[in-house]
Amino acid sequence: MVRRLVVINMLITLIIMSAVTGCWSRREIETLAIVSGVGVDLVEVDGKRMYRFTAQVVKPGQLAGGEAAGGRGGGGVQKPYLVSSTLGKTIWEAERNFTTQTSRKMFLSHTEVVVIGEKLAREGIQPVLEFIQRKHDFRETTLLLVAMGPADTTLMAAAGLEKVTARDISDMVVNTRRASVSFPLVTREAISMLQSSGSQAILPRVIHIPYGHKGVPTGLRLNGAAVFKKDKLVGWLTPEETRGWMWVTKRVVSGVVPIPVPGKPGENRISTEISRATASITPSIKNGRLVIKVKINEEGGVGEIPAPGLDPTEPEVVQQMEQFLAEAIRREVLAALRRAQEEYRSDIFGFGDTVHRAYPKVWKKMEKRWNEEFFPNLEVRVEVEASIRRVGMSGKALSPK
Amino acid sequence: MLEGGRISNRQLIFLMLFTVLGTANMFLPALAAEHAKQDAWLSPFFSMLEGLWVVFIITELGRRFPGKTLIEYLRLITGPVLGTGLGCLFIFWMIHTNAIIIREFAELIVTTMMPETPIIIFLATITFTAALLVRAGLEVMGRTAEFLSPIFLGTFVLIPLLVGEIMKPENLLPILEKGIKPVIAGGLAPGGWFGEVALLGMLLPYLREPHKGRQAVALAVGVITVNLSVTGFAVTAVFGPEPNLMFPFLTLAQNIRVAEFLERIESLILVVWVAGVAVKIAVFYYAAVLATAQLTGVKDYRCVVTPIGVILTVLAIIIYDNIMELVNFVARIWPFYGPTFEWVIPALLLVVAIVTRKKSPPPPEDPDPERNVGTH
Repeated sequence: MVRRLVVINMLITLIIMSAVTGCWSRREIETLAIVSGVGVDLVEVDGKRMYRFTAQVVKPGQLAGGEAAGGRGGGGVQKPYLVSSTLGKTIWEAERNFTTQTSRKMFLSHTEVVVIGEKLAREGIQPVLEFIQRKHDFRETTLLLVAMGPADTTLMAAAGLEKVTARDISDMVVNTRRASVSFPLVTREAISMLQSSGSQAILPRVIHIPYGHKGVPTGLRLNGAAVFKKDKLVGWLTPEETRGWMWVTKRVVSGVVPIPVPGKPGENRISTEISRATASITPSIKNGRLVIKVKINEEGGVGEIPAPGLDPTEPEVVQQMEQFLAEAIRREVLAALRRAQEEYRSDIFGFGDTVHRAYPKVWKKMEKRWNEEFFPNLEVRVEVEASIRRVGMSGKALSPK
Repeated sequence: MLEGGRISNRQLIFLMLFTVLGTANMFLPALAAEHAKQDAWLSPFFSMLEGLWVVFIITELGRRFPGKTLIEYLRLITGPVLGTGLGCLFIFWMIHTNAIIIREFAELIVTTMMPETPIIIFLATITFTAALLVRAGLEVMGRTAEFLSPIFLGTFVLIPLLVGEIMKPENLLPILEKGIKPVIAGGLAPGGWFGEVALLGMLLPYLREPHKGRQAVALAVGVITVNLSVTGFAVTAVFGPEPNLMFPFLTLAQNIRVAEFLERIESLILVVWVAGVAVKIAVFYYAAVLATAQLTGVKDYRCVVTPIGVILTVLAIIIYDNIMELVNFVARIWPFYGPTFEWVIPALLLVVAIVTRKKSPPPPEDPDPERNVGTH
């Protein structure tokens, strides 16, 4: 009798549970506009400053059937996404105004990239980061990029290998680690760079090239980085300088470093591939002078030797190649340092943080004037130790006879 | 006796774990970091001292008055009039604190997950769940805590492990940059949380082995300290010395991204957390219910469950206008308000009891009275 009562009770509970759960605030997938990429711009409309919020919305139905439809070669195949821009006095207002031109509610939890327009970046990115951090549906793992020019055209660019442009960009940023000339940066990192007085923010740059010119193909490119001071964009780094920054901040994963041919300076270049790289930054104070020592250790292998007959296994050649390699890396680092110290006066390397950790008392005195006074005149000693571990599948370089 | 059930010492450890950790792990890292910055992970060790002090006072009182709850010996020590007045104050404190906890829980859900749902839904449902637990009695609560704690603790160990990849341990340097004072200040608000183990005063007589209650709860305080310290470590290592977040732990979970597939697991965390909060609320609820029943002398405490539940829900709504008031109260007033009831009044009671040599004989129903008195 008791057992039966228990069973009946459980049945009633089950029925009630299935009936009352999940109806409030429910969101059916077909009523949502799933956003994969966001672009934020600052524009002037009738003399007023407005934010432009551009969203790339995925169309799930077309996403699944896209390939099959495309295979049939129909001319009327729609893109599997919609790009739409709205204006507002604030970013959130612009985002809400989205409802005036689409039938679905914007769903931001799956946003993969946020692209910030150049003009907005120059005025300050605080509003964007604040918006992402405070809004509950954005994630701090969202990737951030700065567009050269407006952000909306970046998202309007045709997707490459992926079906949606935003996905293309986010995969590109991760993929580029193989070359280490650009880097992925999530919102969380940007926020902590921004909050620390001992380091300045730096974000990867994306360029949209609408028309091919001078042999450059069209499309989206990751190219270099955007340097900030506080939250304002102050300038760009070239891809080489970007890698120079990446060596110091331990972000280099892989990549190709060309070096001169031993014995024939200025001639065709040998390619070396980075297989491992580490760095350490040590501040020290000698005779009241602050000196930063940057030590970089790199391991690489030889990839191509356009010098017929050169034997990369010869100890002397190896030694010289290692020397050239260290020199090449050093040059990249120094180029980045020069830019940051002399031109932008922005401590993107986070040297200030290392001083803060090692000499808290000294830092207290320097903190306020760090970027203006101390960082630009800072003595940075760069030491690079490069080793070549492998020479590839062949011995002597191919020599035509 | 109003409560016929008995719980084991292990169950008591778990109940006390939930009583403190239930909300502490969500709200405390932010409070500790506000003062202690990169040393936030050290702050819990200072709060721990307050927790252990509370355990000492309450168990010392428990030894003098074996088989009696806080409300019962309150009247023995201070006389019927003052004792009843103080008892009312304690009941007020239990209900008020519980209303704060319920509101904290609901605000978190509304802020992070369901902004469109009216907050009363969460207030009412969690109070109802806790009411069911309280009605079921102390034994059921003990078993619930025992069953939930591996899942709960496991989750809160797992998260810091999963964010290991994005941790930057150098964020914790320099240690003690501004001396020890900010660290102690960061431990002050959590101290009030640790002091919530004072509810032990209502549970001690229902232990199977009351004389071992002190060890058990001290152990619980230790586990809580380690847990909060690890959380503080993870939050600082990931977000830096100024996390500037309302719920750092939840944001931490949002940042988990392991091998491109293990991500977006914060909803799972909330499920586990809600279960933990339900136990926490139930412990406070139970204490208030039992205290009311003992003070008024009703035969069965179950008859006060519903009225107190209604008070809790309503109080949780009217107590604060917004989450900023809540955070302000918890950070600025709670560090003084909580400890008043957690150890200031109990300590005074203890002093009075010692001076006036008040003691009570071991409870008659216990077969081995010597064991309960413990060593003096």
